[in-house]
Amino acid sequence: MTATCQIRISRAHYDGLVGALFPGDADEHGAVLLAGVSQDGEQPVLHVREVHIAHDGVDYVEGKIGYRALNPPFIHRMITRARDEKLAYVAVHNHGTDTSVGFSGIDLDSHERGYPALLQIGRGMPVGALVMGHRAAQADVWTSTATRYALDRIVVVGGTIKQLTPSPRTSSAAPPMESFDRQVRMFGRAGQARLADCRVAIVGLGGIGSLVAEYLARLGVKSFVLIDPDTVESSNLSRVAGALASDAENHTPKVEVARRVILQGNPDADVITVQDDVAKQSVARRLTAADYVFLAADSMRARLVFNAITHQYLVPGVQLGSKIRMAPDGTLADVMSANRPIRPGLGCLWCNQLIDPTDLAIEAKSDDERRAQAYGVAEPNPSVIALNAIAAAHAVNDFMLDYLGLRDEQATLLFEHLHFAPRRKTTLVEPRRDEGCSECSSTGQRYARADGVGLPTVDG
Amino acid sequence: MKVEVSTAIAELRRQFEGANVIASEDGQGGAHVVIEPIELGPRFTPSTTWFGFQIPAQYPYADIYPVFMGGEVSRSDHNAFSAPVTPGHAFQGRPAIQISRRSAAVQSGSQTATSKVLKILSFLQSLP
Repeated sequence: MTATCQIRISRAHYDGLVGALFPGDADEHGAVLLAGVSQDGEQPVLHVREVHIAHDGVDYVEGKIGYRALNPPFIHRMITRARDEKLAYVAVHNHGTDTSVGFSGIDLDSHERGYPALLQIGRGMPVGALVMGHRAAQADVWTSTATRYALDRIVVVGGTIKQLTPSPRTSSAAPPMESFDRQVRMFGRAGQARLADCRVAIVGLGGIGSLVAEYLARLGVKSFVLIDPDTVESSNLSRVAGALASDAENHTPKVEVARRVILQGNPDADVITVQDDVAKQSVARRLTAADYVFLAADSMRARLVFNAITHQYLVPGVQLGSKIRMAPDGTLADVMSANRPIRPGLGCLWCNQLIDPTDLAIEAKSDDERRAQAYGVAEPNPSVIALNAIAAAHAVNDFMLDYLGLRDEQATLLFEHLHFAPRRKTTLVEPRRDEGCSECSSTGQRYARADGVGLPTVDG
Repeated sequence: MKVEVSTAIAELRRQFEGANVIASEDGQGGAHVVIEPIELGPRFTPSTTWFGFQIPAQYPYADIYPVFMGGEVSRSDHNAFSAPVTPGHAFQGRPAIQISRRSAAVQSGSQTATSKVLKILSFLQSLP
């Protein structure tokens, strides 16, 4: 069996790359990608941080053996930058094919001549090549362990999430389609199979996250990571999907209730439960290989970690919540649900000031310290299932449409705030993009560096 | 202790050369820090005290908040402290006055633990 790797790239970088490779002249063009690296089991994952277009006639020239090749000075500039920045080096060119693509024998010979030397110059960072057709891609990535990796898939993360493979593929985990007949009529067998292949993480399995879990399971998602440190209490029975009175008596972990609900809806599901705080290093790492993350926990430290993973590992996700705010006189001041899609370069909780630094400081204190410093201790907020259901359904609906590419790519993803009382209104917020943001800027310290930099976690 | 936290402590030691900067791990990757002595000047009695605070594991995203000083400090003009400077607290078992000043500069990445301590000192000097 051939070893495979995965490449993740933002929509903006992908569009720039494809525009340069396929300008409409039916010719061959070149580029170099520099990428952060992580490991997903046996599979290396390359996260594209920089796209360097090779200018025709200067950087991409007539080849001595093949048709064209990257010019040695350009290669040298790129590989030394990769070495200095601790990024993988991937040379890209295009073929004119459509849904299938592969390297020519001349291509592969050139890899064998050149890549051993590039591996040495890159000081252990992976090097390799990517060939792209119009709707397909293939890779030949070399690592210092002398293993060569073909491409499993490229994941293009934008408003929608697109995948490219070397050739059309049928899912290895094709679900029983009769169970999903009515929705297959909407997004087809391929869409259903893609949901079955998707690995989803849900952080927070309370009033909103438990509903997200149920909706996803019944939609046909099969692979879950569930993270929540809490157990069921009697006050949760009004809104945690699937929670029973016996769960409150037995203090069943919320993640285990969610597992039960998922398996009721989808008996074939593979569910990993983590009864712990996502802000811990070992727990946060569980999110880095997810295909999509739902953040339904409303702590600032969870937001900080989720936001970092989105931009550092190019993992799409959504921060969702509901809020009921009471006025001092006991009347309703606000009843709202929030849905904030977060993508690399499209929305960031840090530069939109949705992560409060002072609250981060307060959350780092013990209950005794918070009490002594007069910040109060875990006073519960009002919460109702009907409002939570709107947030959950909104986020899962967006996931379904975006992950399956059922709607057009949009240049801007909006934060949506639905207010229901004291009067009904919808607020659409265009997220700001701070060019100097340490978290989301493509030139910042974190963007697409994957395992090359630490996460803003706590020990544990 | 996370590297960002230990780096901040090293910077505090450079800034407050001559003072004891004692740091103990908070169990999450952050630290509880005490700087002693801190010179407050003649507007306060006594004119020297200590500062204590937590540098959270998620520093520099997390603010240094609040900052404490010795519980024995009073204003030399005999005016009482008022919010956000509140007596009657404790820091790591020591009687303390709590100074609850949020910092907008964290968001822009321009605040360090050292600059926060200096800002608190400046704030105390500017009390009316």
